Amino acid sequence: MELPKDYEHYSTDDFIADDRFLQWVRFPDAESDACWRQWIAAHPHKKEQTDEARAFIEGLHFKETLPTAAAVEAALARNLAMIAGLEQEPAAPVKVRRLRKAGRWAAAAVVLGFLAMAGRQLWQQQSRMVQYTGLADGVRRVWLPDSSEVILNANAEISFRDNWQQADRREVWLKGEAFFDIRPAAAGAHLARAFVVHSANMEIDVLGTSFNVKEGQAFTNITLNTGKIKIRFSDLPETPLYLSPGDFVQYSAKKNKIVRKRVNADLYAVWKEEGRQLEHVTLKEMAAYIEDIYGYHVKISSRELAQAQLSGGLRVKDEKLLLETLSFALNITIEKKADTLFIQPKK
Amino acid sequence: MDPAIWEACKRGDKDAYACIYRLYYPRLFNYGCRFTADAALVEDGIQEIFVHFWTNREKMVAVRELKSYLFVSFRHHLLKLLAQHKKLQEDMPEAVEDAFALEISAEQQRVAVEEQQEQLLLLRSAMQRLTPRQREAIFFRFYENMGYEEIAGILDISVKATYKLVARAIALLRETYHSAPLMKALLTLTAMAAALGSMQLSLFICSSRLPGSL
Repeated sequence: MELPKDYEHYSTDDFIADDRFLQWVRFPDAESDACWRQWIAAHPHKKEQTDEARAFIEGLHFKETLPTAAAVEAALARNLAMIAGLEQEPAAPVKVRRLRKAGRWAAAAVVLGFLAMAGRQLWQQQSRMVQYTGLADGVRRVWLPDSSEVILNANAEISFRDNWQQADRREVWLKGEAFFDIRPAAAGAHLARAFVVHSANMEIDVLGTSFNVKEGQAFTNITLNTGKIKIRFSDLPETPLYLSPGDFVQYSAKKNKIVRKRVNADLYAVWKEEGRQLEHVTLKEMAAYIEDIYGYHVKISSRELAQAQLSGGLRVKDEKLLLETLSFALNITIEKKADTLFIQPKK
Repeated sequence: MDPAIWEACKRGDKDAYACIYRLYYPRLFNYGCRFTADAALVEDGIQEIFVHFWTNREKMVAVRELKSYLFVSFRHHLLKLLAQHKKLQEDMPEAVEDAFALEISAEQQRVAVEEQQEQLLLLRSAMQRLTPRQREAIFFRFYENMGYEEIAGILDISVKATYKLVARAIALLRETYHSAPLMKALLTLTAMAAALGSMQLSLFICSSRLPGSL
């Protein structure tokens, strides 16, 4: 291989920009290597430029965000499921014989109803119920068939059908605490728009949104981060609640009591990310969180102190750690008397 | 990539398709993460263009075009998703196209000579001064090792403009090597300006509080 003569007039920048030069630096083979070495030997006054150009190219290492092999396999599995869903044969057209005029529509309705039932049965046979259980310690990410993400807190449990292609709504059943990030139905994928979370004593209807559900023995907490959801209580079917971002609802089935208020929704979903950074959370917001999650009453000694702000990584794994972090970060004492926490400045 | 894999994929071989997917998913993911930190959104974009690729595979001509095709359609689709996403939550301040981030990695620079560390820092700050489009061109050129025609196809500009874009970016990055002392002075100036800015801010707060305290 002979190099063209015009390299004679190349500057360092020109060498860096040159295809052949880049190929040589990045993927040298015997031929290109011999060729360039020969050329540089014949043009010793160009050695400085080629050396500089080579050093520049070799110095360019970019930060990478590469998925793990396991993540690639998981994504591939989801992708193949999407394709399989698209490739399912559409139902064969059904011929309806001419009937007497009056009976026609009724018959059509019956046939349609039958088809719908048959289709549903077929779908239930094809899809199978899967269940994921949270880890004993820490969080676990679960991907739903529509590639929505669910983060399960310790010991939580979620069940759903593994194929949603024929389903008339996307449904999951939850025990324990989970954070949902629901994707709107993807274009081209024939998915039902409706998304429902079933828990012990309520159903949550969802449209493209992220929210946190903490289902428990005593009460269930729901916090909405983005989007819009509708809660239907099994005991009070006639009074659904509509939530906007930042809304918090606590339902106690035993006492049949619903508490609704505004909170810092990020705080209620903070468990899902280890060392998640929070910005400007007030002690008052933290106090409300502690009341809702750990069942204490919290009394703060002064209004100014309640407005004290906290920013940074927060671990909320357990009560003790959380209270220690708070008392250290804000220089406060937290005193426990029965089921009440008294918070005041450190003396 | 082996043309036989491509031919098999075209005939409907899912294993061959999986091969292509495994090869390009990490690269597209890495590329997509430069526009947004939302990994789920990046994945959504990749999934959808791969499904589209599968359903339209018979129409595709040559394996040579595959890489360009995947990058072009992914870029287009991701920017669309990001724009939709931005509309949904209006608290995202920066414009989607202005978000392309490219950072020089320190981990791979094994030599910890002080002078080189300094040069690395300079190169990093120089990278921040490039326009997002220049950064994207640099990424395709020196990370993906793509030719000018390929880059032109992805960025949807002429080949000539691509040469200019890359040359301009190289020149800007290389300036840091020549003007190191000047850069330092500039950085000090920036720091001083920042300090001045905060002083003005606190002055402003003082004066705005005055009427209340009277």
